[in-house]
Amino acid sequence: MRISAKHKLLINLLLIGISLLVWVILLFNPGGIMTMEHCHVSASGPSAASLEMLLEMNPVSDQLLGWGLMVVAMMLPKLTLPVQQLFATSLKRMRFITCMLFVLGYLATWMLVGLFMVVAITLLNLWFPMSFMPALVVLLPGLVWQFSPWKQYFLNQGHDHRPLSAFGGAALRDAFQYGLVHGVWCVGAGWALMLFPMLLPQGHNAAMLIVTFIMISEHLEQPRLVKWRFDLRLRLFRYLIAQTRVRLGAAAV
Amino acid sequence: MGTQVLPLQTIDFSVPNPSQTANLSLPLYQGAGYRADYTTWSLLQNGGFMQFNLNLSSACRVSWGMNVCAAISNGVTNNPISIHVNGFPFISGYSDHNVNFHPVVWTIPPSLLKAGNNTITVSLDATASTQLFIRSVTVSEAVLTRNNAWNNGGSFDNSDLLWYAKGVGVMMSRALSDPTSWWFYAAIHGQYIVDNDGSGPPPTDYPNWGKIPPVPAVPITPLPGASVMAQYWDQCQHAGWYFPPWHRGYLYALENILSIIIQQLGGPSDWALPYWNYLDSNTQQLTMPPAFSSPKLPDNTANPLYVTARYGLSGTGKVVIAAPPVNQSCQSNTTYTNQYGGGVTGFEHFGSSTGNLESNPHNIVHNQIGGNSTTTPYYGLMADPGLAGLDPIFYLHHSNIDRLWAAWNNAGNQNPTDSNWLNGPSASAGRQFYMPNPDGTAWLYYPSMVNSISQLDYTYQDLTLPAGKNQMTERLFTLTQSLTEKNIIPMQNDDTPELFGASSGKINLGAAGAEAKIRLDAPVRGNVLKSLKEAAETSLPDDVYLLLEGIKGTADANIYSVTVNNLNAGYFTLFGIRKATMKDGHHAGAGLTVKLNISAIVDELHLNDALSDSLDVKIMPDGNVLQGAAPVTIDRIGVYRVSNK
Repeated sequence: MRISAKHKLLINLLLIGISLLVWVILLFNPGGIMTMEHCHVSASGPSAASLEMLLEMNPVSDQLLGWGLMVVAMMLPKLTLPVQQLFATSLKRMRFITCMLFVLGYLATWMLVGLFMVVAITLLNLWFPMSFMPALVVLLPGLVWQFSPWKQYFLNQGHDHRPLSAFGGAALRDAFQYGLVHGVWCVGAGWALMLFPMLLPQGHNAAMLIVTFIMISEHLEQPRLVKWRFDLRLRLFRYLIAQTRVRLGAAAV
Repeated sequence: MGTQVLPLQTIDFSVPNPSQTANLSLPLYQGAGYRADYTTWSLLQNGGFMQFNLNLSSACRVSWGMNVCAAISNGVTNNPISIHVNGFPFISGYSDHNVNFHPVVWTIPPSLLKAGNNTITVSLDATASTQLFIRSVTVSEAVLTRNNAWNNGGSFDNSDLLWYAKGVGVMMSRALSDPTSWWFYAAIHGQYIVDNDGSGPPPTDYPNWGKIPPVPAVPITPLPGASVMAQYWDQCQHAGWYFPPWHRGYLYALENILSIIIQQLGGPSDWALPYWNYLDSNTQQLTMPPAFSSPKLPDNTANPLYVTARYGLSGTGKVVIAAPPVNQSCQSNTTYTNQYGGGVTGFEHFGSSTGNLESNPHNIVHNQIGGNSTTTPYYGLMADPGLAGLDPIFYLHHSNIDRLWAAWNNAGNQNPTDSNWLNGPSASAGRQFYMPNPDGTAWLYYPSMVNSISQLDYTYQDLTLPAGKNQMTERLFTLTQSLTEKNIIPMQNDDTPELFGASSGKINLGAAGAEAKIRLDAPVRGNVLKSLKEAAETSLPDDVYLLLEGIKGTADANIYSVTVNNLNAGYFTLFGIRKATMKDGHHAGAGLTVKLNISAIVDELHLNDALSDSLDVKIMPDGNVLQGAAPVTIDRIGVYRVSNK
């Protein structure tokens, strides 16, 4: 069933509001959780000592926290549609919990992937401290993936908003599973875009903002033919222009 | 009707220097002039022309009239003329043989005209050997009337149908890649030839267009360029709030092309697309007009309106609409969004929020015409949006749907005023609505441009429609057993409908149908029962809806009836299920969602003290179901409550 305009706005404000709040935290980068700290020892080359030093300066827990915050900041706005759908098709008293479980399932997938990402980021920083090289190394396969049919496949799957059990534990389980699976499609579509900013020694925040813009744009597109396509994916940009024109009373084109 | 853009104006050519009018002037002529001996102007034999300037504040439909007579030379009249509108060859080789002055009239569709100056050139063809005298030229804004297809028995005695057939025949003779061909137009609605970036991969067997048994013989080559297909093909808007306006533009553009073709063939200048009013159950109009079931035209040539893959409810080819279930109760709706015209959507080749006009009569009529064959593994063209535009009856069906919408507005009901609706999907940077003009250029339109039929200069023979029963008034009478004096129209409820109950697990909808037990939520049931017990004019009872969520499969032509606790809950069709099920299609494989209002059933159960903790839903095939079709599944059956307080 349709969701009311009021509830739709509420969900959008909540998810986008949390995202913005976390963005502010990330931009201030408390404790340096969003960037790799290096010392001059590691610059002499990779070794057990330098790895130890690197991990001491950048504990895995801190890195995972940073990763998690980044996922929340960048990905929550993409969850508005499935959350709206879950809200509308859940029993009234279970709306909040099913939506929460969906979001938790989704974040769980990204955090699991984050473990591998953090290891990769740490090792790359060990080999190429304060270098743009790791980012460039990821950029190439990332670009290939970005325009590949495989990416389009994952994007298409991300539109699968399936109905779920309505009652009791089954409803809770389904909502969590839905989040996990939705997370898998999202990871498939966005892993390269997420990894790239994390490897940048500078310009990290700007890259994250651009990547977020692209990922939301991708999400706004309908499923499309699974094929190679060169597309800058600027739907969000066009959407903002069209809505501005409409609000100003002009025709949308 | 709206304000006239072009009032009646005439230039009198019985004088050497005729007065020009506000909108019409003759700035240029050559090989044409005043003939004092005949006190009129003429186009001479040496390729003379008269170039008129028609100034319009906005494009409108123009009636172009001339008072003419033919000159006779050696007992022969040979004066073919051509009329070009802004360079487009509107009329070619019209010859006049009447030696007495008489009026001739053509209607120029707005798609050939523009705001500002328009050039209309009347020229004598080079092959002419006699003159054409012109005593006056008259212009005015014209309004076409779409007439009932059953006029004159719905046969070819009805000139609307005869000329429709001839016009369709010309369009069918054009190449698939020609934007003004019949095939291209069908592909605008939907097609199964190529995966047009999200329309989904074409099936290898029927309904792939290459596998359709003639007639018609459907071409699959030559394809237009990829950018042309991306601009035009697979546009039809279903299960969302652009369903009525998108189809209005679609019909209008086709009508413009046909109108020109028909006038070029010498047909009437006031030809308009007829409508098939299958809602008039008191007459024989439930049957498809016979002009569509005859393989031959009166001149014994093939009838372009005849289609083989049109099987009807019985599967035998006899097309009769069954009413019920087809009805016009949607006309009693008072709200467009989420009720009459569909739920809020962007560009949705197949969305999931079908309006009542679309559910019934639109969808059911589609499938009752198309049907399933009893002798072949095929279903009818009309039963699938990727095929429907190929069948000429499609446009008469949609003409009637458009008429219902116009009548609904005529009765005072309002279309959305939301800018996201008025601007169409372009407001959300989505794909835009484009139709080919008769000259092959693109017409970009928004719902705001087709909000009323007066904007488009056409009307219908009949716009007075009996409204359906007011359901809330009926319910109050049932629940309270007291007569209400007036129709009760609930305030529009903007709250999110509340889930009341649901099935568990996927449901298989086989050839024999399916049964499911729907568990109801106890607290919500308490609230619903309370609202029913307290029902009064000042305390309206809850509405209850049954939702069949995520119906997936490929059996587009099937129709089903639904009962709840053995009480009739209505009918639904699978029109569009193939496209809605395609995983890489526009709808991401989410399938169809069907909504049925079961408030009256819940009322009855309550009055019988039988609204327990579950509902028994039975879904049965109606009519002939295709054997061997891929299975149909339903993800979930949900029951929802909408409070009217």
